[in-house]
Amino acid sequence: MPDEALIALLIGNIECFDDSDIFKLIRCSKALYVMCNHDSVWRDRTIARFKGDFGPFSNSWKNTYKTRLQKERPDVELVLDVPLKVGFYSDYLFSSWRCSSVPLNDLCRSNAPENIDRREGLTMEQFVEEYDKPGKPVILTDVVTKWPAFKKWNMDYLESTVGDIVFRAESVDLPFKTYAAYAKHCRDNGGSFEEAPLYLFDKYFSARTKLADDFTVPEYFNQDLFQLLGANERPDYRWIIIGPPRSGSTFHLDPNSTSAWNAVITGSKKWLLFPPDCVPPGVFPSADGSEVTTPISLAEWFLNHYDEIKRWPVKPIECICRAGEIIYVPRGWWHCVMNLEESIALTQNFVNDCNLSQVCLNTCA
Amino acid sequence: MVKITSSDNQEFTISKEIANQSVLIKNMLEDVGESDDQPIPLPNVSGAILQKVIEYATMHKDDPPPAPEDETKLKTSEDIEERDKEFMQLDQGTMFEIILAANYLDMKNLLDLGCKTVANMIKGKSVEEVRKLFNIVNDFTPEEEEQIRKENEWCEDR
Repeated sequence: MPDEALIALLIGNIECFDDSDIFKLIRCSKALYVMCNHDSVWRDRTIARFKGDFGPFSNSWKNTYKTRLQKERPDVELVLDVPLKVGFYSDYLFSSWRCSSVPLNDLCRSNAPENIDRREGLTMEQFVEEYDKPGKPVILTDVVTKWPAFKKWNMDYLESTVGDIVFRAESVDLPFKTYAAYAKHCRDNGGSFEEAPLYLFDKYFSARTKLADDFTVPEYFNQDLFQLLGANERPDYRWIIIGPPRSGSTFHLDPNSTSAWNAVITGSKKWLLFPPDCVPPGVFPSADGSEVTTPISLAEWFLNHYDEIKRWPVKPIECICRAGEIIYVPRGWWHCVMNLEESIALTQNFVNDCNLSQVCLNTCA
Repeated sequence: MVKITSSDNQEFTISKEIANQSVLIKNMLEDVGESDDQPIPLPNVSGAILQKVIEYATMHKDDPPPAPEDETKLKTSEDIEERDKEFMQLDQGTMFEIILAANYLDMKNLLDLGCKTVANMIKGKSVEEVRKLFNIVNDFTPEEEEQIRKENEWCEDR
């Protein structure tokens, strides 16, 4: 029988196989059972086949797929999977398992000393002189706590207000309540359900809901020259971000050389930020910087590269942005973010005087 | 023209057009530049398999570029061209080696062809027939086998 590398390859191209083929393979041997039942396979298949209409989320992607499939086959009785304890070792699966189960606080060193300023009561002038002009990140602690969102928002509240509204999560548009059920499952599994949980990252929420009424753009960031372009021309700029523990973003630069703020309403996020022109290890930008290849997942990056940082001449800024805090990310800073807990956050990109010339150069290119 | 060598030191000379069907080779050529005459080593592919891969690439060198992939579309294994079906009429060992090579060389169409061919070999067969075909040992206990049958058989397309 083809060895593990080959099976992994076939599984990697499983879209070439239909359900019937896979269900047959699953029954052939323990190796095939384990490999074909890998839940990430079923996440892809569920989303490919049912798009945002896959709900309700069951207790695994495979069982979600089967539950949804059975709606189309009411003549057959649904039988959910109960995982078999099978002795089977696989390099291919081990890495994935490790990435999903290493405790987050160890993986991202939650106790690492933080080297970012935390400020409150900043005047506009202070912000401009100390952070905006020099392009220095900072966490502000007295902004978000004043927002209605901070008092009101949690998953239950959001589900009751916008449960039926469609939100974007990576490649799928789905009703909020479907996402909420998935997020609850991740939470109930202590954040070890998946290596890279499905991340809700939606830019239409301000048009589709009244959620934008619950926060105000802080004055430090509200000189936003992109407003001048008008609603149709301006690039994407504001997102609501919701993710289970272990979800996050791999290293990237914000587009169009914009600056950004990221406000945590609930939960907490580990941030690593490298200054402009200092590309983090394991990250490969294209020549013009517009595309970034990071062949590994965020968790894998932490496992493989985080230690190297001790040896780097340029140390990144490391911090945990907690509920009620807002972080300022100046243009050009490479950053990655890992949700240490289930987090609800808001983020916005903007252009002001300080980064205008850079943005113009960028947009003309 | 481009020179490539296999794991067993067989050298092949192919046109750039054919070579570029392998994204791995294409990227190496871009990195190395025009001037270098050194053959590109491919230590993960034997001469016999490389020969077959070149045959496939030659067959497809004039194909139009594929339409932008609909990322949500499930592929079907029914749409294999006749010439590709003939190409894949090989012993299992060779077939699997070609799949591994297509992955290493980053040749998506060939990889898809290989996987679809395997899928077609499974269709219409019982579990036991699939095991026999691929020499798979049934290492389940009868109880395990029964549980898995119940969990998976009901949703097989009839």
